[in-house]
Amino acid sequence: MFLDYLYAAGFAIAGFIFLLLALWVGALVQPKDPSGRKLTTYECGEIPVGQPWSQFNIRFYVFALSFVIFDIETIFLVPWAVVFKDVGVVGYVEMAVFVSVLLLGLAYAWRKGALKWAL
Amino acid sequence: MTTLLFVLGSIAAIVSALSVVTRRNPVHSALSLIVCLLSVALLFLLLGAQFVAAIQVIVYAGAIVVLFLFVVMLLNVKDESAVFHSGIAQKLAALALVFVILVQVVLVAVAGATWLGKEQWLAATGLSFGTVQSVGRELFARYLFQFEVVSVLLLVAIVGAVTLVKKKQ
Amino acid sequence: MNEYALGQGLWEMGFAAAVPFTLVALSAMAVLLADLWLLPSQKRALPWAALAGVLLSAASVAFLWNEEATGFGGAIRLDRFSAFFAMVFLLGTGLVVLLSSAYARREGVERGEYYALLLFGTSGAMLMASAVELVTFFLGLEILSVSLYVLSGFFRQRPASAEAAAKYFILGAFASAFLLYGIALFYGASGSTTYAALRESFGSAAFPYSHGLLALAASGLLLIGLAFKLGAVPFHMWVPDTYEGAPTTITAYMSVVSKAAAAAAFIRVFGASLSSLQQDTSAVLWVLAVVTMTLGNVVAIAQTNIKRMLAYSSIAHAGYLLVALTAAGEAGYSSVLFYVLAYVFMTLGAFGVVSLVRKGEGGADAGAEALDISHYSGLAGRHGLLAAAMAVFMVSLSGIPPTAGFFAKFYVFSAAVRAGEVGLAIIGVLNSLVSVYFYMRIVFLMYMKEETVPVRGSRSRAGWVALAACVLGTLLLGVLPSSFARLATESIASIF
Repeated sequence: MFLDYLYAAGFAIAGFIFLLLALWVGALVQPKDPSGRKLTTYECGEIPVGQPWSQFNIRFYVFALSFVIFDIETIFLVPWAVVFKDVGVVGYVEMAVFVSVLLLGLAYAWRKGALKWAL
Repeated sequence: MTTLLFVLGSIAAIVSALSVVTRRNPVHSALSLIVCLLSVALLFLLLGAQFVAAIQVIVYAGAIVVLFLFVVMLLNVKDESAVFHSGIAQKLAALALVFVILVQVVLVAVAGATWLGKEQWLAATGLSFGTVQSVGRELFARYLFQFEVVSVLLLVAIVGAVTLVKKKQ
Repeated sequence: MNEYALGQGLWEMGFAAAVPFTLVALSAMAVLLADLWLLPSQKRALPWAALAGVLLSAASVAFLWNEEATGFGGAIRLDRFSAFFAMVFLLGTGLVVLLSSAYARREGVERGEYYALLLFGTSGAMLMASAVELVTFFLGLEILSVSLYVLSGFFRQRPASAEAAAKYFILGAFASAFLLYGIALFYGASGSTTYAALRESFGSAAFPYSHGLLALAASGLLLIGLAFKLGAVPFHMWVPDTYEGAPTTITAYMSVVSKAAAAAAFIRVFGASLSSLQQDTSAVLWVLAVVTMTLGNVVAIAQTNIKRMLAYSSIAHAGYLLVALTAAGEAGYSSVLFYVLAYVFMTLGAFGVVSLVRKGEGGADAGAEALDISHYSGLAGRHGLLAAAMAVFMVSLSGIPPTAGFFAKFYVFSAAVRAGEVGLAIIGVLNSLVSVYFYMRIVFLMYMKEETVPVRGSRSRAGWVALAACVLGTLLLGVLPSSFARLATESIASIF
């Protein structure tokens, strides 16, 4: 079992090393010619105004909340898929009920326009 | 190997947890929280609780922290000392609470190990205890009713979120 | 490994135990779904749809009245106790729906979510009363709580309503965390979350010292969560602001259903399962009861807003409930059941009157809710019936015969005396005397004073039906208490 985790860890480390490698190689071969204009935040010449941290729109919040809720639903789908053969028809019906209750939630959010950008 | 990972994970969890409460910038706090949650996920993995570890990463480190960040950005607080002033009394109360919780955790470990008997405890918390398979089997057989009730709770949460945030049509 | 084979039929799993809950939850979903496609002119049908759901579920409870069933591997249980509480919740919900039908339209909150969330909340409360497993109980509590957080913030444009929701939500989330931690400790100690396992684990005197400490810690945490729902001091901070800011009908619902559900869960967990810890818990409950009664009654005197006054009054009544819970035993617990039933009628009635009284013509805010206590001066002259109903509820709340409130308190205090808690009973009676002052002040204002601000009563027929039912219930329980007391005793007997 722990060997499996080691595999996963190995992949994660390999991915990380690959990323660093790509950046390093890029830094190695790219021509460097810094000048004032190039070091600005937007190379197109746009001068940034105010703080980079601006106030978010509350509209994001509805999306974030719905995302969390459906994320939790997804979490329940994983063990169901894993034991699908064991739990058989009963498990299938259970998940069908579960998903249809949440589909009602989706229909509700949709119909109320919560998924639209305009409030 | 396991011990080494445990020590590393615990140190990371404690340091990042301290960082969550000591950072003045709320965005930094939220980012430290991600590190903390990830190291706790590692600890869960070491206990063989894969499913909880996965939830920890996907729901908490993923979704919940994003929610935190949204609120931080929404309120646009750059320095929490401008918003919160906690006196000595509050800090002492928090310290006392932490102490009580710590004592209880130790009690659970000790009492669980002595009273249930080591064999039972291991049988209950053995290596297969937290796997996705065993969680699935429990969830869709013994906890079938509770599982369906969760869907009602989630539905109420959706309705609540939409009702409170959405303006009238 | 599984407690039953997976292929067994739904009914054999004990689905009967979950029928009333399922019906309410399904009607909530139906209301929600219907609202999505209803035209604005058809929204008037929503309260009646909700009422139909309540009646349907009540019919199922009546049909299953003599049944006993444990469902889904010991998650939920149908017995007389669950049936009694289900009826109390459904009665409360039905009356609130009737009161809301005019109130919600007038305040511009006549939306499907309003009624759907009311029904969802009721389904959660029913789950709390019929759960025999900690996770099920927790889910019920959360369904009820989340519905109430949203409902109390339903007037989104009003800062007071938003404040009500925010305070309730943040403190409620804290209380839930405590509760969940207690559940986790119980699970850690006994390896199971069913009440039966709790009784087995902690009922035997053989458990070691560390384990006893653990059980105490877990009980303490559970107690904090329930005391919060009950609105007991020192977990009452949210009550005045939330009760004042929330829509009046929701305040009524909150004070009745959420309190009764907390009491029901308390009896199932502490009364029926953890009775071995009773000596320890009753010491804590004693203190809680005394401070809750006293603070509620004393602070209520100083209030000028009627909803705030009723909020403190409801804290005081949580204190009386705690007296009964301290007394424990079949007498104590059955007095809780009688109290809860009486409380539904008198409190819903009082809040119902508040929701029907409006500021009259002449002012800038004509038609707004008349929430100041001074608005009630001279109400009898203008609206005799409304004033008479309010007088009945005030008399009952202060515990004067021949009303439901008198016998409710009588049973509670006599149970306390029988359990040897004479001191507690005396403090309770003294508190009742204090409460007479602020309840009777309303009656005095209505009958003895001249009108200061013109007010008028709503002419909502549904609202008047609900009020009439409350008056009738209050008087019926005051005149013929014995049959209801027997019902309460039978219900308690079914869980011991």
